[in-house]
Amino acid sequence: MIESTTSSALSPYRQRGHSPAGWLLNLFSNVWLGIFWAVLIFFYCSIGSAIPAVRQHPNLEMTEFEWFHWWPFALLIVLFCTTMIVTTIRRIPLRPINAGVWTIHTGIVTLAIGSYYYFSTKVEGDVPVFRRSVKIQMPGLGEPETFVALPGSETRVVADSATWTFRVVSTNSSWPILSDEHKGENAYAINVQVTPPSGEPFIRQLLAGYPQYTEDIIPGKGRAIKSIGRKLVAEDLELSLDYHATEYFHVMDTWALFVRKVGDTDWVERPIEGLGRYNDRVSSRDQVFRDPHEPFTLRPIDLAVPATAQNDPLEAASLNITGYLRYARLQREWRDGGERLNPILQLQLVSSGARSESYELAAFDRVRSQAADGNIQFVWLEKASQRAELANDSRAILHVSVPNTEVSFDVVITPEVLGAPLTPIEGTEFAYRVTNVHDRLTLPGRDRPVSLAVVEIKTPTETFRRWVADLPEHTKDLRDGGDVHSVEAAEPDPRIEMTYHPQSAPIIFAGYPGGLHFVFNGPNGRVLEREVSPGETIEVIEGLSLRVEAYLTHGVAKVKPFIVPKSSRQRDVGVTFAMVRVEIDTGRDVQTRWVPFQRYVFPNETYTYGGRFAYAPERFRGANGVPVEVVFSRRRVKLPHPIAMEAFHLDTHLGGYSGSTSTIRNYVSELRFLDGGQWTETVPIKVNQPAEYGGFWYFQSMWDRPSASNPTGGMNYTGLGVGNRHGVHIQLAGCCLAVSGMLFAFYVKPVMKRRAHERSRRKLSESERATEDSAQAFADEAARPVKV
Amino acid sequence: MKERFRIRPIDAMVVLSIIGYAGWRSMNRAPETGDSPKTPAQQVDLAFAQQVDLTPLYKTAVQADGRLRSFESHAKRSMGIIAGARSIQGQSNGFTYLDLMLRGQAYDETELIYVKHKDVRRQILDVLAGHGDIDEQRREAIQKRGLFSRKMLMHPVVGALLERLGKDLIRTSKVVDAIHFALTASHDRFLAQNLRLIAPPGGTIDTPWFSITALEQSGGAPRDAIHAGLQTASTIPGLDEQLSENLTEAWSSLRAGWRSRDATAVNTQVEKLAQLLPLVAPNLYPSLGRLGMESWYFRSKSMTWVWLLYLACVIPLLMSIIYKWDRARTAGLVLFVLAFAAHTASIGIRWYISGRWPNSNMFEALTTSAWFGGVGALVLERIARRTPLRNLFALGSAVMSMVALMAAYFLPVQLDSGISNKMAALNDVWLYIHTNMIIWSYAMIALACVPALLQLRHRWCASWDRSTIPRARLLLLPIALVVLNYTGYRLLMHVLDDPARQLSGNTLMGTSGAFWGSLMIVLLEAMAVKTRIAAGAKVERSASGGASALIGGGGASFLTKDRPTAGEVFDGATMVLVELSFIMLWTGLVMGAIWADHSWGRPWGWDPKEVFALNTFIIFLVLIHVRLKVRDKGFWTAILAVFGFEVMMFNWIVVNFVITGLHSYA
Repeated sequence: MIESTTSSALSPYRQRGHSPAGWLLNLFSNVWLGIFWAVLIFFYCSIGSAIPAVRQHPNLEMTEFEWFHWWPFALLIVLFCTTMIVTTIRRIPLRPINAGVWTIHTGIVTLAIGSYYYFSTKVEGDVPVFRRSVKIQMPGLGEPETFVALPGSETRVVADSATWTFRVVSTNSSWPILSDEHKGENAYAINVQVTPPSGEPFIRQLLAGYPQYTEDIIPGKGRAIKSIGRKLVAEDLELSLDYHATEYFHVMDTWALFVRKVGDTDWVERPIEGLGRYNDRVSSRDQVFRDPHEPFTLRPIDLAVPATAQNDPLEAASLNITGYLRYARLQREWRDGGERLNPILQLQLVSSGARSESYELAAFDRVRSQAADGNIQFVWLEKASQRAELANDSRAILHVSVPNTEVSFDVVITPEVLGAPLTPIEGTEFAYRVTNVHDRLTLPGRDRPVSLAVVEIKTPTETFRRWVADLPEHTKDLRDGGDVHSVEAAEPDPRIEMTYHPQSAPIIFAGYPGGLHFVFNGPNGRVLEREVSPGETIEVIEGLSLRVEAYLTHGVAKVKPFIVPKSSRQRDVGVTFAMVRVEIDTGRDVQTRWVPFQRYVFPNETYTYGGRFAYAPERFRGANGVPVEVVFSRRRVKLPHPIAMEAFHLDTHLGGYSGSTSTIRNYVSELRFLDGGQWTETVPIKVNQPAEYGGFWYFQSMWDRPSASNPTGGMNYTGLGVGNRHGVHIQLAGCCLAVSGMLFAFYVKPVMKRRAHERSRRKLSESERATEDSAQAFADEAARPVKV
Repeated sequence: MKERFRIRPIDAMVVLSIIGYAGWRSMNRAPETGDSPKTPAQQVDLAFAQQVDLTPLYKTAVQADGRLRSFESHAKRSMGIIAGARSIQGQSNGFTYLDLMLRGQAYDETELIYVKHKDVRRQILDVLAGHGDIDEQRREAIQKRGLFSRKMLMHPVVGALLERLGKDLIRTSKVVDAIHFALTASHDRFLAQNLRLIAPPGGTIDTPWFSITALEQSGGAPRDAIHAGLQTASTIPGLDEQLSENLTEAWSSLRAGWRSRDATAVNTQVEKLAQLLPLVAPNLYPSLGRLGMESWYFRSKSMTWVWLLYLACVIPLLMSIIYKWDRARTAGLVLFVLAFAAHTASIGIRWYISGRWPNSNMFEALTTSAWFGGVGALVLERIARRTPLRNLFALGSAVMSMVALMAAYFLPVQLDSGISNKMAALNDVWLYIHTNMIIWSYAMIALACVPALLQLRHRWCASWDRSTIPRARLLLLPIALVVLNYTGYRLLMHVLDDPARQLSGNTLMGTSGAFWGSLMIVLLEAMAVKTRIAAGAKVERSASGGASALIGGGGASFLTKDRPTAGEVFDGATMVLVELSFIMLWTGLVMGAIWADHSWGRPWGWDPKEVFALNTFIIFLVLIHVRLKVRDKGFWTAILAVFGFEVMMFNWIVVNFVITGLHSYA
C-alpha cells in the first residue's frame, strides 16, 4: 500500500534533513518508528493487565484505570498518533487509491481524540437506592420524622416527652391485597412494630400505593379490627410511606473521610489524595496483630487530609492518616490480670469428618455466654461449692399442679410426649397434651429470651391452648376467636398451674475461684463431670472433643486490627475490609483510632439492613471537646436530580425461549427523578437497558435478592451504576471510519488497481486483442505443482 | 512435471514429537475403569448392570438447574459433579445414578469421588498411607485416576486434612468445597430429591417439578392387605388418582426389583414409568423428539468424535496441495464437507436442545468458533477455487476444527459440555454479534496459522536444501523455538502470581536458563538472516497481499505471473485470512465496546480480556506494517501470524481461566 508510493516520496524529504525540525520530521515519517511505538504499547498493555504486581507495587499503587491513564501511556499514544499522522501526510499521497489508509488513520486519530475526551471527563460510581421511607406524624411531634424502610431499621421518637420506638420488622415485596376493589393486586408491604411509651407493642402494616389499607395487627390476636373493633390501635399516630430520595453517589476507586458533630445528620467530606490501595502502610509493629509467618514490611505513612469545606467541624484540628490496611479485621485479644472479674473461656470443638469450630465465651455477657446454638454454656459460680447446684440433666420439664388437690407432677418432655394423645390428669377433671416446645425465643421488646411449651388443656367445658413460659408472667391462655385469623389471649386459668423448665445446655463450663468445672448432661442425667484446665482436651462423645484453649478470670481485651493472611482472604472483595488509622491533633491532645471502610456514607445506623451495609463511624473529641464522628469511605458526588425507586421487579424472559429450554431473568428498577420539586414519571432501568437523566446514565448493577427461606422478602433496594459518557460518539465515529477504511484498503483498492491495470492493458493491446481467457489461465495456473 | 514429495527432517521432528507427547500422555493417563469384579456378589452386580436397559428412561425429562433435561443428560451432569468424567465400574451414568440412589451403602468403598487437584490427591493418599489404610499399588492407581471412595474421604485423618486445606482460600479451598459438594451429591437422598421427574399438573413453566420421592411420600406403602388403609392420597396436587396409583406402583416395583437385582422386573417398570411420566402434565412435557435427541447427543460424547472425520480429510488435502493432484483434492474436499456437515449437525442439535445459539461457555465457544472457521473456509474455497490458494483454507479449517474437537473430546473435565442457562447480562443482541464476531475472528486467526506454519516449514526446507545455514543449527532452531515458547509460557504463569503455578527454586532456575538460552539462539539466527539478506542473499518472492492477490491487477498479483512459488502461495493464503481476522477482530472489539457501554456504562474498562484482544489486534497491526518495510515479507508474515495466534490463545485460555476479569463467565 504505502510501499508503492515510498520511492517517489523519498527524495523530497531527504533533502530537508539538515535542520533540526527537518530531522525530527524525517524521524517521525518512519513506519518503523510507528511499529516501535505499537510494540511498546503492546508490552505496556501486557504488563499492566497480566502482571498486576507491577502496577500494584508500593511505589506505583495504581488501579487498572490509573495505569492506563498514566503519562507514559498517554505519551506513547501521542507519539504513535504523531508518527502515524506525519507519515501519512508526508508519505501517502492523498489519492482515491489511498483512501483506505487515510480513512483508517483518520479513524484511529479520531478514536484517540474521543478517548481523551471520554477518559478525562469520566466520572463513574454507584449508589444504592432504597424503596421507601416511613414518615411518622403524631400530636406532640413538631416536624414529621422519617426513617428508611429496611427490615431491622429502628428509630426512637420523642413526642410530648414520651419515647416511641418504631422498628421495621419485615417487608413483603408481593403482598396480595384481599379487599374487593383491588383484589388480586400485589403491593409492597412494610410492617412496622410500634412500641408506645405505655401499653403493648403492635404492628402497623403499610402498603405502598394503598394508604387506605393501612391497618394494625396485635401480636397474638391478629388484625386490630377483629379484636378491638377498629383498624388502628393508636389513631393519633399517623404512619405513611414516602419515596426515599437519594442525593449522592460514590465515585469508584476514590477515598475520602467524612466528619460531623455527633448529633448532626449531614456529613462533611474531606477527600483523601495519595493514599494507595494495595499495600499495607504501618509505621510500627505494635499497631497491629498479624500472622508471624506472613511477610511483613513496615511502610510508614503520614498523609494530611485537610478540610476543603467551610463548615468542617474539625476545621481547627489537623487530621492525618497514619496507617492503612487493605484487608484486616479488628480483633480482640484477651489477657488476664484486669481489675474487674470478667471470666473468658476459649474453646475449640473438633468433630471427626467435619470442620472444627472455635468459640469464645464470656460468662457475664448475655449473648456470648452461650455457643454452638445454645449447646455450650459458660457460667460463673461465686463459690466452688455451687458446683453441686449445676443442672443434673439437660431435660426439658413441664411442671403441672392443680391447686387445692394433691396433684403435682413433672413431665419430662421427650419426642414421645410431644406426639402423645390427651392425657387425663387423675383425680381432676382436666386432661392435657404437650404439642410443642420453643426454647430461647427472642421476642421483640424483651431483652431476655423466653422459652415456651405449648400445651393443649381440656376442661369439662372447653379446650384451649396454653403457652407455658419459663417466666410465669409470660404464660397465657389462647382461645380461638370467631375466625381462623384471630386468637384471643388471656391470663392463665387459675384452676390449673403449669411452669416450664427449658432444656438446659448439655455442655456447661462453670468457672469458679480457683478452677474450671465441666459438666456434660445427657437427656437422662449426668454423663460426664470433671475439673478441666487450659490446654486439656475432653472427649465428650466418640468423635467429638472439646479443647480448652484458654481460661481467664479477669480478662482484659486489647483491640487491634489483625492483618488477615493472604491465603485466607476472600477474593474479589476489593477494599471491603480496608481500614485507615486516623490521627486527630486538636492542639491539646492527639487521638488515634482505626476507622474501617464503608462503601457508602449513611446518615445513621438504620441503613445497615442486617449487616448488608457497613456503618462504622468512629468517635473523636473535637477541638472544644465536642464529640465528632469520622467515617472512612469513598468520595461522593451530588446527583443533578435526586433519585427514588418506585418499584423493583423481576421479569422472566420468555421471548424466543420456552420453559423446556431456558429462562433468563431480567432485573427492573422503576425510578423517579426529582425535577423542579416534582417526581417525574417512572423510568425503567433494566440490565442492558440503562437510562439517562440530567447528564448521567444509570445502569442496573445489583439487586436485593430474597433469601431462600423468605421468597417474598428482599427487593428493598436496588444497586445502580452511575456514570457519564462524554465522547463515546466520537469514539464510535473513529471506529466506524477505521472499519470502512480497512474494507476499502483490503477489498476495494485491489479492484481499483485491477481496473486501472486492465485499462492500461487495453490501451496497449488495442490492436492485438487479448485472446487469453483469464479463467482458463487461472485453471492452468492451479494445475501446476508447487515446489514444497 | 510432478515433484516427488520428500519427508524432511522437520516433518520427522514434528511427527515424532507429536507421537512422543501422545505416548507420554497416554502412559500417564488414568485407566478408564477400575478393578475387574472378583467376588460373586460383584459378578451378580455386573450381570445386572448388563441386563438392565434404561433406554426408555433416558428420554424422560428431569427439571434441574432451571431447565428441563433428559434423564441421560441429568445423570451425566450429576455424575460429572461426583466422579468427574470418569466411569464407575464401567457402568453407564444413568445406571450409576440409580444404583447410587437405591443402593447407596453398596458404594461406600467404591472409588467414586473425583478429586481434580493432583496435589490434594497426593496429600490425601499420604495421610491414608500414614495410617496404614492403603497399599502402594492402590495408592498409585488412585493418584492417577483421581477417584476416592467415600470411606476414604470420611476417614477422620482425611477430615482433618481437608479442614486445613479448606482454610487456604487461594490454593485449595475450592478443591475442598468441590469434594464436600461431591460427597453431598453422591448421597442417596440428594440424588433422589434432585430426580425431579414429575411435571406439576396444572402448573406453569416456572413451577418446580416434583421429585420421584414425592411418590414414596404419597403412597410408598405397598398396596396390599397388610398396608391397607395407609395414607394413599397423593402429595402431588392435581395429579389424577389412577395415574398416581400406577406411577407409585411402577416406581416402588422398580425400586424393589432393583434392590433384588431382578433385571427383568426393572426393565418392565422402566418402560412403564417412561410411558406414564409424560401423561402427568402433557402441556408441560417437552417433546419426546427433543429429549431423545438430547439423550443421544450426550451419549455420543456431544459429537466431539467428529475430529476423526476432520483427521481423515487432512491427509488428502495435504496431498492435493503438494502434488496438485485433482483426485486427492476431490477426495479431501468431499471428506471435508462431510466432516463439516457432521460438525454443523452437532451445532444444530445443540442449538435445538438448549434453545439458544451455542456460544455461552468454553466448550460452545470452542466448537462454534471451529464451525465458523469451517464456514469461512468453504466460502474462501469457493472464491479461490481456480487459484493456487485453493485447498489451503479447507486444510486450515480441517486442522483447526480437528484440534478444537480433539481438545473437547480428550478434556471433558476442563471443557464441560453440559448445557446451562445464560445470565441476564448476556441476553443482548450486541453481545450476541460481538461474541460471535470475536470467536469467528479467532477462528480466522487459527486458520491463518496453518499456511503460516507451512510457510515456515517451506523456508526451513529451502535452507536445508541450499545449506545456507549449517544443518546442525537448522535442526536446533525448531527445538529452540518450542523450548522458548514453553518456558516463556511457564515463566509468564509464574509471574502471574497464581500460586498454583509457581515454580520452585531449581525448576525456576532451569526454566529461566532454558528460556534465555533459547531466546539467544533464536535472536542470533534472526540476526544471521538479516545479515545474509543485507549481504544480498536472494529473497523469496511473496504475495502482494491477501485479497489483492486474489483480486489481482496492476501486476501485483502473482496469479498473472508464470510460476507462483510455494512461498507466494502460502503467503497469499495467510494474508487472505490475516486481513479477514484483522477486520473481524476490530469490528468485534468495537461491538463489544458498544455492548459494554450500554450494559455497564463504560465502553472500555481495561479489563484483561479486552486488553489482550487489543494486544492481538496490535500484533496484526504490526504484521501489516512490517510487510511494508521488510524484504522477506512471507517469512515475517508467517512468524507474526503464528505469534498472533499464540497471543489469541493466551487471551482465550490463560486470561479466561487464570486472569479472571469481568469476562470470566464467557
